[in-house]
Amino acid sequence: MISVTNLRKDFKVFNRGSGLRGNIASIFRNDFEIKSAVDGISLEISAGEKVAYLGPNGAGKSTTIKILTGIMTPTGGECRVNGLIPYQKRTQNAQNIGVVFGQRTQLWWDLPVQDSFKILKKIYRIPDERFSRNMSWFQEILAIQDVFKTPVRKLSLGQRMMVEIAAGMVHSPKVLYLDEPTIGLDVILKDSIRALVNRFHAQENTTVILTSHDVDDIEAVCERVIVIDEGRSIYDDSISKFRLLDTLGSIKLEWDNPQHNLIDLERLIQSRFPDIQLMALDSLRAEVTYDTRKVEAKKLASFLLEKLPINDFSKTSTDLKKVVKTIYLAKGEKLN
Amino acid sequence: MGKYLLFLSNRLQTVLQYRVGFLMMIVTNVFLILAKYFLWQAMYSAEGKLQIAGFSLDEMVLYVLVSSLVYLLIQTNIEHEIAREVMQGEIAVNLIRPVNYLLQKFFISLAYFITNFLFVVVPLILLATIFFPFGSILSYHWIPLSVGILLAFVINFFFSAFSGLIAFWTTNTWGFQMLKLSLISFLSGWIIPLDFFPEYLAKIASILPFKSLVYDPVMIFLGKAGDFNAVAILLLKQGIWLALFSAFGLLMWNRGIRKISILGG
Repeated sequence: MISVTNLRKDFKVFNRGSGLRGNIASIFRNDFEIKSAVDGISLEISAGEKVAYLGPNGAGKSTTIKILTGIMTPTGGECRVNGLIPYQKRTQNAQNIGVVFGQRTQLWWDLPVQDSFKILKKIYRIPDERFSRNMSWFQEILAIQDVFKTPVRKLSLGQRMMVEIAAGMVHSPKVLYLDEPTIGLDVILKDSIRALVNRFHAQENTTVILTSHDVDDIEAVCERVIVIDEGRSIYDDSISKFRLLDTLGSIKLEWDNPQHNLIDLERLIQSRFPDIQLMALDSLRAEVTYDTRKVEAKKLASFLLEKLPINDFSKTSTDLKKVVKTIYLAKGEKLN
Repeated sequence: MGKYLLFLSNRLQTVLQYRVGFLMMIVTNVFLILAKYFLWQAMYSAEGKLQIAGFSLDEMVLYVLVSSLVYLLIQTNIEHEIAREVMQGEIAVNLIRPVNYLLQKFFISLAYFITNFLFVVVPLILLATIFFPFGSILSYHWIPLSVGILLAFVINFFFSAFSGLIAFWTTNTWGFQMLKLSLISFLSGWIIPLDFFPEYLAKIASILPFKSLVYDPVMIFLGKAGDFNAVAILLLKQGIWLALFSAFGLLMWNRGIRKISILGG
């Protein structure tokens, strides 16, 4: 569905001197550097995949999306979406794609919501029955009819985002690009939006490319993770393998009476599992942390339950947020 | 085509919400026309001649009126919109849709053509017929005037698109728009007929495309552009300008979107 080979996008960055003097000097001097926002990315995405496209701010995510959607022309390399080169066959490509920019509106500001949908129906030549089916999904999952008669400019942020998402999907696109779709939304609405994306995927095998800083979006929607940094792809694999990159496991313990001999307890556990650490959280709670590559969580857990005077016990599940953070901090180091 | 008509009708709806705007335009134009009228009247009486540069006073009054209306009708109101969309990156939203951007803007500017015609030009013509007795209106050449206006409108559309698309290369589009405004208002014959230019300037103006926007259609209307052949040649020339401007506008669009560099969101 999407095939990208060695894609590059360079920007000229002009060095303007600082202050009045520097600015006057820069009129006569044409001093610029070439910065690569995308620096040789290659990837293959098949029809119906749900891919999280991650990277720290400024990694080149948005630039890639803009090339794939046909807005930008790359400096080098090639990309095809559904067999078309998007920046050469922009309008043809646009018929097949849906795009939601969390920070940019694509609705008609002065018009009531339902008029925007009427226009979209015409622009994309959506057949009547598909249009009404999609609208019924929007109603079922987002309750969109509540705002049908309101002009877009009078919608709240949440309402507007809801309508933006629906507007990006109303023509049943083959590829759906979601760029920060849930930014600034409440939990309920986030859930509905994720559910809607999954509905379209289940029914129409929509290919989804999701960019988000909210790891819950990724957990709820994506099956595959691609991470880029400094314009290069540094990770590309399934989300379950991605989760394994979190190597710091943790189990929280709680007891009835204050325990003062934590050092002894730690020694006790370490006699069996040398790589763990026990840390007091307060007088009644402590946390065992371990390296998931060396310690099998199941064995550790049963050992703790058996040997320690525990009242309550909870294992924190692997935390995508931590994985993402680790990767971003690694600064462009390749991970697989 | 249906979707483009939809853009047209949407813009019509938006424009019609600002009805006071039309009244303002009528008032502005009444004052402009009156100012020019009194100026010419004073000039003719001071010179004491019946004709100056081949115009009688009545012809001059008619020139002032018709050229004002033509100038008003060819305004496309599109360059600021395009420049803003390019500079603020809003153009991205238009590019992700299966819509031809320039064609969309053309239909949007048609909305201004229609509303300006109905709510500014028609009232101004009615006002004018009350205050200036013109004799037989039918003796003027309405059909070639209409053809000329339509061609001029499309030429000016591409010129405006061009001046908006300049935003791809420079953020200072204002300077260019001022240049465009002064070129068109002076060299098109809107301020004064080209016959009043000194010879060298008249020569320059006759080579440039701007006179086909206002001067030529109005002179044809007044029957001062020569015989049938001369009129046909003027309209043909206008057609050639149209072809050149559209080719240039499209070239600029194709070059421009390759330069797009909307960073971040």
